[in-house]
Amino acid sequence: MSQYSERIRSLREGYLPPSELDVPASLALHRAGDEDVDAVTYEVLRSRLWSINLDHQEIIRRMSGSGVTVYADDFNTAIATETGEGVVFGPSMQFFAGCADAVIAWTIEHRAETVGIRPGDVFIQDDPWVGTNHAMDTAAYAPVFVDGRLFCWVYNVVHQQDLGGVEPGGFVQQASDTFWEPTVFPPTKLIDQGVWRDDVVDAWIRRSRIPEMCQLEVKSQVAGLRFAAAAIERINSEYGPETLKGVMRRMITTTEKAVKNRIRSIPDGTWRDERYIAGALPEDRGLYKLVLSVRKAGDTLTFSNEGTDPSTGAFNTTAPVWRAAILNAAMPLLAYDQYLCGAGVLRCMEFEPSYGSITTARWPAAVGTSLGTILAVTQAQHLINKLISSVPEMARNIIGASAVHTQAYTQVFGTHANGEAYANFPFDCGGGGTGAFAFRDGIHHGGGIISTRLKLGNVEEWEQAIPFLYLYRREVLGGGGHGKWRGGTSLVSAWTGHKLREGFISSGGLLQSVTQGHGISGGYPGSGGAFWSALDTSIRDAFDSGVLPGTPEELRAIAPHGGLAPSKKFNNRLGESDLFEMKPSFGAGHGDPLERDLELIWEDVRDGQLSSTHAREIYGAVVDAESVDHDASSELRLATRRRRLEIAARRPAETSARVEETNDQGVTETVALAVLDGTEVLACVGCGQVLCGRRDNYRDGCAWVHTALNELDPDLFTSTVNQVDVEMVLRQYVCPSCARLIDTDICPADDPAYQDVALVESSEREMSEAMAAVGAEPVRSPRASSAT
Amino acid sequence: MESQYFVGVDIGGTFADCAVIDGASGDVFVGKAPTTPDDYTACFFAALESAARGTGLSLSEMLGRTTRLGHGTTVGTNALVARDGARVGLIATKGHGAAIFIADNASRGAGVPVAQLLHYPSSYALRPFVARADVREINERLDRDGDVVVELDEDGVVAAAESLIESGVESLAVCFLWSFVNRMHEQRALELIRERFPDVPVCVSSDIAAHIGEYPRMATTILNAYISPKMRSYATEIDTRVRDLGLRSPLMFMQADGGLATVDEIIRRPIDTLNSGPVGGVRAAAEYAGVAGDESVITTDVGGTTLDVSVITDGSVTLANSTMWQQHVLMLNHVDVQSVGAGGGSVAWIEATSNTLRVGPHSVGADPGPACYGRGNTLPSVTDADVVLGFLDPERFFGGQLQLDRDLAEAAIQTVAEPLGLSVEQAAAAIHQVADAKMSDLMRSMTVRQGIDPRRYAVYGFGGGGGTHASVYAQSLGCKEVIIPRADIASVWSALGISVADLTQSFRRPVLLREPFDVQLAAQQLGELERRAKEYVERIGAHAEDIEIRRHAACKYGMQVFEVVADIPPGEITPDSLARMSADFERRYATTFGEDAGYRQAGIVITAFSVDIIGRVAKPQFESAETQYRDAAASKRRSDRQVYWREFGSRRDTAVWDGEQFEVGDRIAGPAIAEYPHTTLVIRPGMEMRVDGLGSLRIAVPDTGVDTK
Repeated sequence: MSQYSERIRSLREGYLPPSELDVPASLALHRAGDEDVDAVTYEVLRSRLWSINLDHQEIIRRMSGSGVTVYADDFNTAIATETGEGVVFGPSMQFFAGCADAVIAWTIEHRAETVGIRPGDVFIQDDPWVGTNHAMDTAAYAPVFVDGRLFCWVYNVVHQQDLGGVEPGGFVQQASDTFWEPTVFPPTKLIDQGVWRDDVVDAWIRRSRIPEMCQLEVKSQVAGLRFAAAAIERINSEYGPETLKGVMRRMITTTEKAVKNRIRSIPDGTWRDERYIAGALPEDRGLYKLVLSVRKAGDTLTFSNEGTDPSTGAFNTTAPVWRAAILNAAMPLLAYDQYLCGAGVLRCMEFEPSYGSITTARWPAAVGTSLGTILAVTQAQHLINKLISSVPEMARNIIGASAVHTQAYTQVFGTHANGEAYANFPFDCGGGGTGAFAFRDGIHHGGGIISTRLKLGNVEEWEQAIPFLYLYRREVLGGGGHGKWRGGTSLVSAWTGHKLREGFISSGGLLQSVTQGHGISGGYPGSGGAFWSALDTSIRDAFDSGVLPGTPEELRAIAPHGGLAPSKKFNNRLGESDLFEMKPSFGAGHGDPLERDLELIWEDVRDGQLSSTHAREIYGAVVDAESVDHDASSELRLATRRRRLEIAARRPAETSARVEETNDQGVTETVALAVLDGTEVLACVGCGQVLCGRRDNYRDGCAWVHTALNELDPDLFTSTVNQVDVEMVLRQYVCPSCARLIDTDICPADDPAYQDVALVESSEREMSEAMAAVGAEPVRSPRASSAT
Repeated sequence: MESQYFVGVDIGGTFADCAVIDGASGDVFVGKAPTTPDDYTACFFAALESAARGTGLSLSEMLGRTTRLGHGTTVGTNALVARDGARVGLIATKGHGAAIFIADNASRGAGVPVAQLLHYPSSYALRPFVARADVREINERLDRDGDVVVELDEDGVVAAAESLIESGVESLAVCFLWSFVNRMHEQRALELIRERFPDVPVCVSSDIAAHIGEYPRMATTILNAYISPKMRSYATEIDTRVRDLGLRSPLMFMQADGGLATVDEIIRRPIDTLNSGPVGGVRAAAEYAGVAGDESVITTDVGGTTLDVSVITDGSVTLANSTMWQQHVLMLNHVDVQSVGAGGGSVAWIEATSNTLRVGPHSVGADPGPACYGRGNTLPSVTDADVVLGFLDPERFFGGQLQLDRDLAEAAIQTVAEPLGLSVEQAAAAIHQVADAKMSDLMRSMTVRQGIDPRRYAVYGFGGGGGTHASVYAQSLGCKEVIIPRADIASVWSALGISVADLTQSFRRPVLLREPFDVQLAAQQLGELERRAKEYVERIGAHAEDIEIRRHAACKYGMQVFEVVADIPPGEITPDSLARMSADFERRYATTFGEDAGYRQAGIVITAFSVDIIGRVAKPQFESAETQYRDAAASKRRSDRQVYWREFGSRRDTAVWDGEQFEVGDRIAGPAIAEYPHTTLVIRPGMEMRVDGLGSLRIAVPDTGVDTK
């Protein structure tokens, strides 16, 4: 039975589903499943479930007709087993679906006995501590029964446009706790055995500034559920529930098997990412630490956020969402071929949250801005990238930091010329490139991994709704992070107010100077973008004289007094003489730029994707209009390597030890395992230079080169001292012998180097291999553990 | 009185097909010629000649009596596929020339298969049809009301065109912001460029795609410019020659919306021919279904690589206005035909982790083709499964023109049978079952989720594989009947559709009118469109056309995004006529999206007016004979053969019929096979086939089949 104390604890701490659910005897579960279903039926029904889930999305789109759903794809759907394990997710917002099992498990544990879970029921919930990104993200879900037994669940989440809170839309940048944000509803029965509960409907929509729209959104969600449930029931009547359940179970075990095979090939050890973030509240200049580690043992990954700073301001997220964010990152990196079967991936993972921190905030922290969620996805993406970089075959799946890694917001509000109020949210801040891959450049304007599609909307569509003009929406040629492979570039948009009484725009979100677009394997970071603004300019005179300032340079020429917009200010004026420009995140680079193919560099310069100055300074390439000079470039590249060591801020104690051969098994793409005089060591993949012992921190064996971020490119990177109290640098870890770039950090110059990879001793590894050989698996739960 | 002919020519990948209908008798003459990709005009005329022989007339005589000559061409589509169209220069509003490259930040996933969508490293941004170096931006700006914010820099337009053409650009696309509200700047740019460069094709976005959304409008305009020179020379040459041969009515081209357009229109807007290939068949099905009394139909065309599906409800084809092409989003009025990668050539393979069978989306293609063709491919495909199961006779495939190798088919299937622990026959049946399930999934998506109950629809099956698969997917959806229309003319079905299609032309103007509507403004804007429409009718001369003009308004609810097109009643625009339009909108919205799906409180917004012209021709008459059904005469039966039926789990001696000998009223019971030169009809156990009064094959599909377990 759901104990009051346990229920309240989960709502205060944040809920992670236990390995064994506490299912009351009154709720009969349909457990039987024939996993030996024949190969054809399996494929027919697997494909059908995928199709039902997509159709479920389409029903919601059509019925709600909401721009947030239709244009921004800010919703998702799922089909889950009787205990909530996610069999298939839709391709829209990925972290939504990753919350589904937590929400369903919580409902079974805490609602089955007292409220009841019966055929025809529909539940609704938007409590972030149960499992949703923020209160606007509303889950609606329904049990499907067979012969009185709970067979499975159909589930969806829709970002409802307004559910209250002190700011329209609910993204309260200045929230210091959750009471500024929309009031949250833990799982609540919306439809009782087929009958709508008007009391709940009224309570739900009463919070909204647009109650009729809100009601329509709820109805669209229920229509989607009814469609999906009917489709499942039809399969059950055609094939029998044991068959369908068998297919569901086999889909999960197939994914589990595929992902575990991949994990097994990674050496045992602990990988770690530590990074700084900024932008907790308006005018806050603080720098906060975000830590994520993963312990890889056998075929299991155990994630922990221990070391992350305590929750603060408005950029937190809750434990179930942190878990969903990690799943979000793991799916494209470890399970890209498994058709979004989340449960199979989760079976390979355990979670050890350190409650009360930014990524696992306790109630009543403010969690409404999504920033914590996106930070958690970005960090998990970087960490899992590094983890899989140890295995060459898997490294091919790396996706460098991509669009929205350093999330910014440009909400607008004000008054039209006719006196009507407006409030809206142009999505340019959601644009951006995909980070570099391990074997090719990233994708310009390719989006990121939080959703498989991050659309912007057309300039004309936004201008139709908002009294402003886009002066430009341009590509930033060559804006992606540098590296052997370059990050995808992003865009830059600029606006001025038009035909309005008054207008405002926010410079919200994270502080972009503290970029989260960390590069991989020595690749350069992708810029977090920047806001620029200028008030009281002569833009209208320019219009009148027949000139449209259509580039950032031309805009700055008519407003030389402009500059970096104030941090996290929600009401920057945007009248008819004011200007506002925003650049969103850029894809990060991969590998040492000195190893980029010279012909590609020549093409970059030819196509305007690289200046010849950067070609020389960063890529060591001597390029003119006609060609690239290979001999001169070779020399320049050697000189550039020498210079790295000359200017190093720190160099390791002299060491001349070098190994002839390294192990095939990498530690990362740039660091290999090797044996020197019978001792296992870590060595530079480029030259065999020994960096440290097997268990030590290779970064201490590297030279460190520090560069202030804005020195990389003042057009793309803003000096952090403009936004936070500390100057941050790009720290490049460089091989002390061949000067190859091995890894990077973005940190204050006086920070120590944290250990990003700690392999277990070979004896421990051998022991675990020996245990695996005799079939003795370490004892652990099949699903997440609720630690601490 | 001498016969009047309706002629359609459709050029496909392998054959150019021609259908000639005698308007009085309804007799159909078929012509075919091998496709000549180096010069499509050659096969166009060869196919015409071939059909003319059937009529007993010379080509010139036949054309002299032709009321309607319609042509479906893939010249534009092919140029886009092969990327051998013109080098295009883009002239855009300052600050917005990159819209085509940014592509809404979503081209990576636009229209790509889901496996590629989920695996980022194997996905790419769109490959544009214009180079970054061939973009010029111009000082000019309109706002959402069409008001001028910055005057058009006329010298800048000329200089941009000059520099582009000097650098080797062959065709120009002009796309300015808000040009669809106020055409002034684009039209002026057009004049300036034409004055200076009269021979260079110039396409302006307000002519090509007058819709809100600069990215898809720009993309559509660029693609139009890309294929413009090729289409211009092709259409001009055909037009000149058919006139010389004696054609007195205007040559018409098939458009993706299922209607025909004049040569001038198609030269101006060649993009309208994009994907018009499958549309002829759908058009024919709609016409034919009307004659046959099948009001609502799901058309299915099983080809080599895909199944193409479209839905006809109460005689009307389903239209859509946006489509994807090579990851571009285009604004194109078109018949909604959706595809899934399951056809005869779809490859069967084993997904290693789960050791399960998958079929497609990859295809062996026409060359080398399935393993049984013996051209070196060893991957198993659906066609190989057909051979192994006994559905296809290796000796009689394609009218005996292609000898199939059963051993090679078995060897290929064996590669998937072994890992699954199945016999070759079981594996072949499994490949069918998986392919059929994929087909059913697509059809279910296109009906059930749109609120359409497929049980009241008949399934029309076309294409080489339609007869083999249709009864299975029909049963899975609960459809009662499968119809293979007129087997004797099935091979020119698309050409037939082209010959009887109506002329269509649409004039559209985006607006933004909120309730309460400004009646005077609405009347003025609709009046302007009607004036343009009438000018057009005068220009083309209404040859044998019964011109109908319809007025529509695209409406939506405020705060919602989906538009529905409502009828505007004829006559003067008054508050009452707009109220009736609103009522029509509300009714259609509820039908399309569900009762109560509309956000009524936000009010109705009109986003566009359109005036549509439909030029109808008197349709040829197909006579349906009075029919008494009886068992087909045994003489029409060929020797039986062993066919593997998954319903029985074994091979059975199965009757094989010579389909060409069937007559109206013939009836046969399944399991049976009926063979035609270009297709094979499978009548599954428990089903019955009849030849109806029009000569079509009708298979009654039992409610719960053995297939549904």
